[in-house]
Amino acid sequence: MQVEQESKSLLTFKTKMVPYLFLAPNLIIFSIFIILPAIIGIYYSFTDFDGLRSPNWVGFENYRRLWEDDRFRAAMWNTIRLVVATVPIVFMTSLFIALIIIRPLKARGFFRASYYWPVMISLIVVGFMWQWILNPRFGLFNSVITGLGFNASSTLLDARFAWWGVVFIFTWSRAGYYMIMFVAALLSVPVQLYEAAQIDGASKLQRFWYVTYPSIKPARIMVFILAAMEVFKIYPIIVTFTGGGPFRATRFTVQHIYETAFQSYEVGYASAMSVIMLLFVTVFTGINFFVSSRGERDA
Amino acid sequence: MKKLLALSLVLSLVVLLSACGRQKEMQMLWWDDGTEGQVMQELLDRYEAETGVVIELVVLPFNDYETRLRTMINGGEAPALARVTEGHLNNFKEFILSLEDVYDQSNFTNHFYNEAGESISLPLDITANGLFINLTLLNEHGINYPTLGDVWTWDEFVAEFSKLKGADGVAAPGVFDHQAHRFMPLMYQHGITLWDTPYTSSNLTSPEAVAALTMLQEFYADGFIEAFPLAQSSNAATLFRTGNYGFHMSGNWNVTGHAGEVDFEWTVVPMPYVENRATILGGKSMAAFADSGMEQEALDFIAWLAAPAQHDYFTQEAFYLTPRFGAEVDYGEFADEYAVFLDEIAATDERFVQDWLTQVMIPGMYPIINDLVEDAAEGGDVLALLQALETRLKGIME
Repeated sequence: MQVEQESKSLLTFKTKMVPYLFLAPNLIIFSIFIILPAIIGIYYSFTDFDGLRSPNWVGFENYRRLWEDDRFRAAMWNTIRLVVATVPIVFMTSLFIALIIIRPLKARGFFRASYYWPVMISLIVVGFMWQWILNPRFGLFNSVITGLGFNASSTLLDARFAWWGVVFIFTWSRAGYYMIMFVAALLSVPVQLYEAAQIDGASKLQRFWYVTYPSIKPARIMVFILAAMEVFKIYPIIVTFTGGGPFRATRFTVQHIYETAFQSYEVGYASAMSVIMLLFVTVFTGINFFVSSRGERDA
Repeated sequence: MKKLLALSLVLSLVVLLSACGRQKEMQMLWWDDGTEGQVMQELLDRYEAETGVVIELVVLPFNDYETRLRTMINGGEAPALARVTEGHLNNFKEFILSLEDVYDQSNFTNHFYNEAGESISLPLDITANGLFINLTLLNEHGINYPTLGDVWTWDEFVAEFSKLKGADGVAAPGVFDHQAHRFMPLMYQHGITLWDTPYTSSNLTSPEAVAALTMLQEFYADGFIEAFPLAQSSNAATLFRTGNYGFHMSGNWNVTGHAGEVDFEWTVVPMPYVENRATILGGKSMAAFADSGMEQEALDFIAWLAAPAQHDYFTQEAFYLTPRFGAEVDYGEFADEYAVFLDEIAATDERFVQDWLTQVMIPGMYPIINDLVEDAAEGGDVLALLQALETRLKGIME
């Protein structure tokens, strides 16, 4: 009897452990390459580390400097504005394309591939490509509009044009990725719900608003958070598209952090900037989760 | 199954042991401005033929160069050799081997020393800023230009070259990288240094400094200088090579770059002046690093490279100004251009040379002055910009 009980408890232990064993390799890699550097980064943020010599502890000095750093504040504010402008546009564009593409169109596969195509291009290349197109002196865009008899545009020399250019090319490049998520979510909405709504006399718009939209909530939250994270971390596309110019109009937080760490070699100070950015992103994500799950808790 | 497992284990061990047994390769870190990397590769091939020692030339983009070097040193994987600027020598001086007794330093100028007063570099070349002009474009539009015996003031230069504005095939009269290294000659040409005595009393808010920055601001505002580099990372040399610009403010490192890339006639002319002529002097050197595991081999190579036969071959084939006393370098088809650079150096007062050298020793200063040029191009009050620069510079020196 005791042997039977022991073997049963061993089996239970094994059953409980197996999932963790499967998770272990990923957890180890995640810890080594993400968690550990993040902890080291937090430590560096309290030092004067220059990337070469042994760091000295400076307490909250880096954070005090940040408080007075106009350029960091400008980059951070610019990034927040970009998140606020870009995420809804990416969200709506990808959802709109997904809604069209799930309909029984001819050559649906072709359209799906076409919208997804830009996702497969590296962001560095996307930046280069659009930089060539929108180059104010020798770009395709100005060649075309001057060919049509219009005056050449200052394109990337104009701060506002360059800033909205970033919004546009980010959307162009990434909407296809989020479209796939929406397509998967839309296809999993039970058909019976639409049938019931139709029987109740719901219009197309009502069916979307009362059936489709609530049914894809997990995908919505996922797209919103992933897109926001991506825009917060925007950098490679900027380097080749505008280099942060003109006049720092497209200079965002990650570029500022990178240049502080690897051009001015103030790694400790740049680490403090990263910590602040991490706090921002965490708070933003937390608020988003809170707002998204409010309905569920109320229910 | 067990046999298969044992076999895999043995194979893994063989691979591991053979990897351990491989001799570490000697590396030289390098960046290219023109064709000088090819010349160094020829010298490395010659060195291998003479001594059997293989040195791998690792060419990196200049923008990533210092970061990579820093990471390698910090990670305990310092390269045996590296091409370095004065800034690199200053930032890494405690990690660089002393070259005392490695070569005869009295044969060279432009040395750099560590805290113990020991030389830590072999000077490879000297650089000077200068003014490239597109002769084809200027002749086509009937524009005159200064010559070696006829140096102009900036007023004369601006008046003449402004005739290019709006002309057919002209994007802008000139092009310029918005960098400290291009702006500082303008300051010096106004007769002013950045600091009176290093890092104590600044001249940044003096009337001369205000005049220099105002002049630059007006260049951008009037379209005298192309604004496009401000919309992208620096690419003035590439823009000049399109043939749509009358002049390019740069330096002698672009001689071979322009020569191989353009299909128009060009030359180098003296830079204009306000109070006095002035250029910025710089240079590249070779350094050997501690903890590379191949320290003696690196020192042996530097001793070999310092010999006249090798050193003169490098400067002559790469078309560089030589730091070796008594060297007779034939610049061939670029003799006229190099005569101008040498004249710029001769016409530059020592106090400007020293002022610039002290600036490059401060890590972080360069990006701050780059910001100033960008801020000035955007507009705004010049004096306020200079006051802000002074505050930021003093901030990093504290």
